[in-house]
Amino acid sequence: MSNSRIKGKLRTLRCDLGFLKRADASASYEQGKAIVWCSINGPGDVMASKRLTMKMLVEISNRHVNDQDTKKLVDTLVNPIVEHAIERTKNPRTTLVITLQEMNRDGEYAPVAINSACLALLDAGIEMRYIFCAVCISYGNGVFTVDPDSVALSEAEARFIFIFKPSITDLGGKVIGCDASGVYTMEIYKEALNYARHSALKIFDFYRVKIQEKLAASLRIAG
Amino acid sequence: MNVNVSLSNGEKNYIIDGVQDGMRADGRGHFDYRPIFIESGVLATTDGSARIRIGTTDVLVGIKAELATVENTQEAVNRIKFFVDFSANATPQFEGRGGESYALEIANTLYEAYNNDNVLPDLSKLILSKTHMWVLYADIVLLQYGGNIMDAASLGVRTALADTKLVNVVVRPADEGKLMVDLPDERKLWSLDVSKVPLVVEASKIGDVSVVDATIIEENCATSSLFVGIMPPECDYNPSAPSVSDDDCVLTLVRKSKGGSLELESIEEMINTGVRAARELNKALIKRLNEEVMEPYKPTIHRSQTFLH
Repeated sequence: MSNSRIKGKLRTLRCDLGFLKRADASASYEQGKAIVWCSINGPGDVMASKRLTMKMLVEISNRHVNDQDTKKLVDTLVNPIVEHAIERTKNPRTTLVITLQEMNRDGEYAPVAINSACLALLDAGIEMRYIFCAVCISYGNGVFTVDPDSVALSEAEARFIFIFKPSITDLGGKVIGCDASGVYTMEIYKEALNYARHSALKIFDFYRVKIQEKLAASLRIAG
Repeated sequence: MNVNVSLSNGEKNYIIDGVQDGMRADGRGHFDYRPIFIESGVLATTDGSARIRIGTTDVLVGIKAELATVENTQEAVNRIKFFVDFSANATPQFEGRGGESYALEIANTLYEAYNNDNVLPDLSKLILSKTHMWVLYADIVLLQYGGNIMDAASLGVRTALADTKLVNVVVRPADEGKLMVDLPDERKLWSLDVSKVPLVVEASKIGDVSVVDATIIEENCATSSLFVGIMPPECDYNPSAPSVSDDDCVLTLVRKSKGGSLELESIEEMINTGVRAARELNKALIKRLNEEVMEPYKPTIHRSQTFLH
């Protein structure tokens, strides 16, 4: 984009699916230098006191998240988004245990964790209502930065995290979650959303490539 | 939040159609509030307290200041801690831990609305030394659920903060290079400057119209709602300050509540509704509280009932 109001682009995405042998599904997801591991176990047994008659119990833990701001994002954004994307009525009276572990922090934890969780869920083959991806945009001094790392984030006046699910009508996808922090006007918000949509397309493409790689490998073994 | 009320489709349509035609079930318009009662200084055991009634909703707020010793006050989080309790008195649905998730939503929303350095400039006065600080706890108890808890809770916190009186303390050196906090010979009380304290208003979307102060039944007919927290502009409490339009008002919180999806245009419209209502509410509150101040200060429980329209 030769637009002077925006700088930076989505950092390099990398992912290893099924790298944890003892978990039912796992994803080691990297966005630039930020790394989040996600492991999923289930659907499995759940004790009677926690059992839900009509739905699967989804237990998500974000390990070793210590700072207040990230804890708030985990409670209001990461956990609800991941939980609601899963089609919980398909496996009632069971539990799905999702564990997110931050291996390296560079920029915001929440969007990286959300993307990692989606890839792990795809690896697990759990029935989902939709797939999702998260994009972070920061704003400062009249310039928007896509997917800011820790340095860019520390200089930002405002920071936006948008979460999308795929849509054929809306570019990038439909917004299913958003968290905005800092000082900004409505115009800045709308412009940030517009930039985020372009990055969302790239992340969904990345998911497609990764899953095709994984399935191509198993097809080779079968045939 | 939704308290379970059994409504037939016919009843829901009646409410929704009425709202869209500008006539709510009790005859109010979109921006009208039910009668509001405010009492301050109702709890002797707190440093500041208030009881708010909006229609049938009844909320009790108590503010307590406790002296805390920390490693380093520069690194400590200096914000009011909110705790909300939805008692089973409010409605049977909140029996046991039934009301916990709703209570947490209110507490987190209030925390977010107050989570900046501009709304309570006196927070810096709470830091007494490198290791001592006052910590403010706001406890909110819902006594009766009549819809629109958020507005009541936010009004209650503002009134209770205005009622809060803290004592002047001195910091003296103690053994081993440490410091201790002591009472001076001449005891004085000081109050916080609450002129910029945020007011949070819930704008509910019923049909394609947004309303404020929804009753329980209206809440059940709403598709979605938005909590809007404004920092009152100076012109609303100081007539000589330059006037600020609704569009230029500073928001400290915009938070979507309940399920349902909202288009960006709807969000903008609901924010406008919320800002307009919050400013009017704030002006009326200030007018009423100023009338109260005319009464002489009594060192015992300061009871006064005010009728806010």
